[in-house]
Amino acid sequence: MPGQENRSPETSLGARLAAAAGYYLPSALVILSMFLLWQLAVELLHVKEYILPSPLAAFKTLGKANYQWSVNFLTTLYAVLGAFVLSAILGVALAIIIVWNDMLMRTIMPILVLFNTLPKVALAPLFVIWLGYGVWPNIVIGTTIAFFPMVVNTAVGLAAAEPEMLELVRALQASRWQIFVKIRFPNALPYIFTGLKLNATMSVIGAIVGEFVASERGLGSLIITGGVTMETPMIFASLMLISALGLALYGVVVAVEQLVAPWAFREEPNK
Amino acid sequence: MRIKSFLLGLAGLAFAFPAAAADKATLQLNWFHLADHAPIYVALKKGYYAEEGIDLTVVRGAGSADSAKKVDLGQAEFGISDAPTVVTAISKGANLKMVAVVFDKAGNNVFFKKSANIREPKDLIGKKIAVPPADSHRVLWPAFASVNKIDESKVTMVNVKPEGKQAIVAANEVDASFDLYTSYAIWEKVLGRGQVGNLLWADYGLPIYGHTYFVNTDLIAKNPKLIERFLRATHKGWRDAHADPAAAMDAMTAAVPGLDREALLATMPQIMDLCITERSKKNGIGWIEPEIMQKTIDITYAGGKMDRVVKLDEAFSNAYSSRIKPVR
Repeated sequence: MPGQENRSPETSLGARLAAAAGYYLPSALVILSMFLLWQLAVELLHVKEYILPSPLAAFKTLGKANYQWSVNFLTTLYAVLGAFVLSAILGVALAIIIVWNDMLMRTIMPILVLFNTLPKVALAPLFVIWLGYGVWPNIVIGTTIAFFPMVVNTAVGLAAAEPEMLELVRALQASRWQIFVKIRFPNALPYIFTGLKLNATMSVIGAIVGEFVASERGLGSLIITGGVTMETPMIFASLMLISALGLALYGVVVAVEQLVAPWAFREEPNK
Repeated sequence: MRIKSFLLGLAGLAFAFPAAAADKATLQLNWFHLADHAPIYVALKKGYYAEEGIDLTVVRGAGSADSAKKVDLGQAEFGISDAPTVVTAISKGANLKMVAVVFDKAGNNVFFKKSANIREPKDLIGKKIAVPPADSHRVLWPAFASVNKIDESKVTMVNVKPEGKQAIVAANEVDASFDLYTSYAIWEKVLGRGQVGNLLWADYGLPIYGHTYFVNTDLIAKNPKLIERFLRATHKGWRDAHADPAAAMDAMTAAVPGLDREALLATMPQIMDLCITERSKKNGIGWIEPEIMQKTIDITYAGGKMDRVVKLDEAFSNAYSSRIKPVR
């Protein structure tokens, strides 16, 4: 387990990688055996490919040029990254506003909760009417789905600074800005990263929801097409790419967290 | 035991039903309830299915592919789907067979605002058209375009969710949308009464089949009479709905909550035009014309989504045809 014994900063990169590999080995094994079970079940039970393809059949579909994987993948990638970045900025900004003033907190928070309870899947078709279709509307739809955990987590983090610490620096005549930059924000970092991790996976969902409603290309568009033309292996291949995209984005957040706020990351296994 | 079966026999005599318990059967619709499903409800209401010894459950649909899948998996005995979807499923190993057509003329159609100035298929050149991805219209479009000498590359297709077709036209994001003629009522609701323009593809040189009734081949092996009985009851429903559309609509709106009776009833004349034709007057409602079915398979195969060629006798059979004819 990283972070248990290897707390010294001079630990070599090789050792850290080895530790990480050991850390993820069990989950990798479970995922692999799930694929194996799926493959065996499909083969032994003679399931028709259009009902449920084997993982191998789905994987092979990725080699078929007629699905234009790179174009479709990039389209979805742009929407996901756009929603992720926009949610991160919007989420942190809103959280700062909320925490800055108690009055604002009381005013804005219920509205945010209200907005978050709306099923975005039902709203998405309206976004198409308001904004048209394409990568931009999909970014907006993704943002409406992904920004809420960002706001809540960041706000909690900003508000959770230790009161003794705040009193101490106030006694030392610290300005509000100084308190924010030196106490509140660093204190909120672990929470912000938790928000970013949720944001990473929800942006993916959001972008796909958008593509389901209206699109000319994208992995979500492929999935819908495959549902109607019964190209089920292609649906599963798209799902594999979407999962890989989500995992990669999540991984990037974890890596950045280790660089920016290593103390937060090291706390995690103990929680 | 003996007393029980004796009593059951008596009960059967008393109701003039066959002594055997009714066959339970499920009909998987192609889509949510539209006017073309009303004949099924009038048949239910008048007891035509009961007379044939069928205890019928009608299940709302989620698209032709979904219906095909459910019937193949044995979750429903009967399904309604687009003929192109059924043959595509057969080509992918589904054990299905079509036993009757819902419409003798396919309802494939393009809707637009009347103000869009679309008067013939050629006017679609240069336009943006909303179509759900790989909707049957997409499969048929190349054939329709070529018959009408339209350069396909000069018409832009936009993917939309089926439920979003009307809204995206209303918002002027696109000029038109391919949608079944049977959805006319929804279009009037969104675009406004008298504001809807349309071109029915069947009127412009595309003789193909759209919706059909189909079964699992297991049912053909196990209980072929059930298919005959089902179609007889269903087509009596169509015959009656043709004679009295309002009563048919009442039967459906009474059984299914949340339907807009007036809007649906308004589309009944057009729906009957698609179902009741010279051919169905001659051969009975639901009769499948081999030539048109062959054309439908050919066009679908050319669309490139079928895994193999499907032969005509594999795709359909008229063996269970009801021979019920319209009264006028």
